[in-house]
Amino acid sequence: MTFSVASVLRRRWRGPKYLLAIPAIIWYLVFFAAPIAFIVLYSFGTKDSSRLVPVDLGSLSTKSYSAVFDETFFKTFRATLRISVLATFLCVVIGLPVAYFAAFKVAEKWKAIILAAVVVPSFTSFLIRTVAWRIPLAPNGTLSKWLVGMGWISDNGIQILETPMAVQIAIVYNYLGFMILPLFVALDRIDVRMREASKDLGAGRVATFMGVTLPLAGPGIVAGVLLTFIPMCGDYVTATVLGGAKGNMIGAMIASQFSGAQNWPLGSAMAILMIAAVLLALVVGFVVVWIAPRLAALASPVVQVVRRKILSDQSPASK
Amino acid sequence: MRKKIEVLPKLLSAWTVLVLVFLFIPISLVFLHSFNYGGSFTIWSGRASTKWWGELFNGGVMYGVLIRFAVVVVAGVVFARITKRRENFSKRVSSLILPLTFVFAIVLNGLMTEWYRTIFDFAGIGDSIRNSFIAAFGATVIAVLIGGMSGVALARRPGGWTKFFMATVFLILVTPEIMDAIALATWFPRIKAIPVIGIIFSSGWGPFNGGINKLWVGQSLYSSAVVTLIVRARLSGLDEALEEAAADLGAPPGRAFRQITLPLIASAMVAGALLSFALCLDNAVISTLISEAGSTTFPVALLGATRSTIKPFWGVGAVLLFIVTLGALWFLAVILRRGGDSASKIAATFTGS
Repeated sequence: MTFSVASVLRRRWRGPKYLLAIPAIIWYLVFFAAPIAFIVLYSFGTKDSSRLVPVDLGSLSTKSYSAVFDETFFKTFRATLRISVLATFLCVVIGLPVAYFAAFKVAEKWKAIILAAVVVPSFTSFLIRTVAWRIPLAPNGTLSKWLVGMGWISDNGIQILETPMAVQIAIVYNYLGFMILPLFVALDRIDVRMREASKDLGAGRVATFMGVTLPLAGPGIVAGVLLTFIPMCGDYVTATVLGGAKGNMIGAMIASQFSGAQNWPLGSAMAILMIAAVLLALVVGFVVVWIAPRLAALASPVVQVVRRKILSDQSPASK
Repeated sequence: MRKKIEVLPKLLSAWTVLVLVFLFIPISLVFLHSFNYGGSFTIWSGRASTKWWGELFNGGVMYGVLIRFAVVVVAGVVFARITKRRENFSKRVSSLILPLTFVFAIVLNGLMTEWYRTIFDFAGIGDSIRNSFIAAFGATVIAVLIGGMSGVALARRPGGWTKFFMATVFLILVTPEIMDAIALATWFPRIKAIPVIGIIFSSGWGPFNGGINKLWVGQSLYSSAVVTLIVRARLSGLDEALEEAAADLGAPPGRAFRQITLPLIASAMVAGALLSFALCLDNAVISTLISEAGSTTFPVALLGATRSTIKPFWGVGAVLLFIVTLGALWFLAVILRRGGDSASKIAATFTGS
């Protein structure tokens, strides 16, 4: 039965298993790994505008890294992290109820409609979505005039364009869909019987959500956070279109070192510090997320009751 | 107690409606303001007008475009009808004809004619829309080829290499775009110095200039990773027994691949292609940093235009691109639906799993 012609043919196959992936491997080596390796290298070089590639790699030094640490950079860096962390948090808080509702509370037909309504705006041009925010936020626009007319804001109108506030609003908007989708997928994959079992065992809705649903959806939340937080930290478009000078973010600052200032070593060092900071922030974030529910679960009396019930239900069966 | 149970779903549904409205407001404003009478995109003049849209039909070029589009689509519909009756034609393949026809019609209009240039001439964005289509199309071809092949290899020939390759794919997906952008922007000057390969990225080949070739490379990275994941997910969900049976019946590997594997993954490839096309069409960051004077795409040009007053005409261009993206997404959903996917599975495809 196992001795099929196919297995004989397969045994005759002598090429490497990754044969079909070779074009992709070459592509990624040449256009992804190598360029990024060179960015790492450039960050240790010195600026030399006389060359076609304006970096002198003759004497490697960490000069660019020490040059990075000035007041402007730190301010932008802090602002970027603050905006990204807050936006990721807001995306989870706003998106989780939507994903939960779509996954558990509606019929299959409505699921499709809600998902389509999330996908369509999310996969529309990122740039156009960002530019669109200039319409409601315009200081002399319709919304502004209306709010002034109602007497809710001062006569100057809405003054948040070209500030971090505008970037914050738009960045939550831009990434919300990319948070909702992975959250939905994770919640949707949870076996309904797990939640039912938890309720049958006497756990309330809060205990079920905290003790069963949320841990099972963990991978989806992690995916959602990764898919939003990392791109946010490197976001170039939102800050460029809406931030102005006051709402600058690190991504736009890095880009200006390459498109304007032609200081590749400084830009490279900034980019590498950005990636390092993002990774650090993620590690800290996940440690907090990993520890917090465990502490909460231990402390919660409801969970204790459930746990005792589970144990007492199990013990007669095992004896 | 009973009442409490009914409150939560109501609250959740109200919240969902609010969030969905929030997601749609800016897009509807773009649509509305493309009908603005005044000279600014961001400030509503108080009067609606189709004058910016009317520019599309100036000189009658647009009629030719629409007619060409209609002819190709009708031909596709007829061809799909004919092939449906023929038994030896795989059902999967025939269901793909219609979406492919639309893609072909868009590409034909985009590549073969200069209509963008003519109708958008006064706004100076015609070339940018044309470049957007050429760049997205080329990048999608690359992404489908290399992504499709590695997807098949991942699903059918797993081994020690799988881990490394998947790690690379995820790395590509999560790397901030600005990192890729600066890496490629500094990489191309170096590549250009290489004798033969360098010519591709400096003076280009055929009708495609060096800047367009750079865009193909830059836009293909992310989208090929997406195609890889989609094809892999689809193929690993299918039993290998079919391919084994073909081999048992004496089909050589090439033929088994062509007649069994390829039809099986065709829908995943087309789904990946459509998603990739939508992603490439709106790529702004990488494109901005690597594009040159002759290869400015619509997002790059729009990003430049935001530095001064934006004309409502940009709204018209945005809505047109939005319609194309929407069409691609719709066909994507149709294809996955026909493949038997539930809404949940389609959502999973969008997140690349």
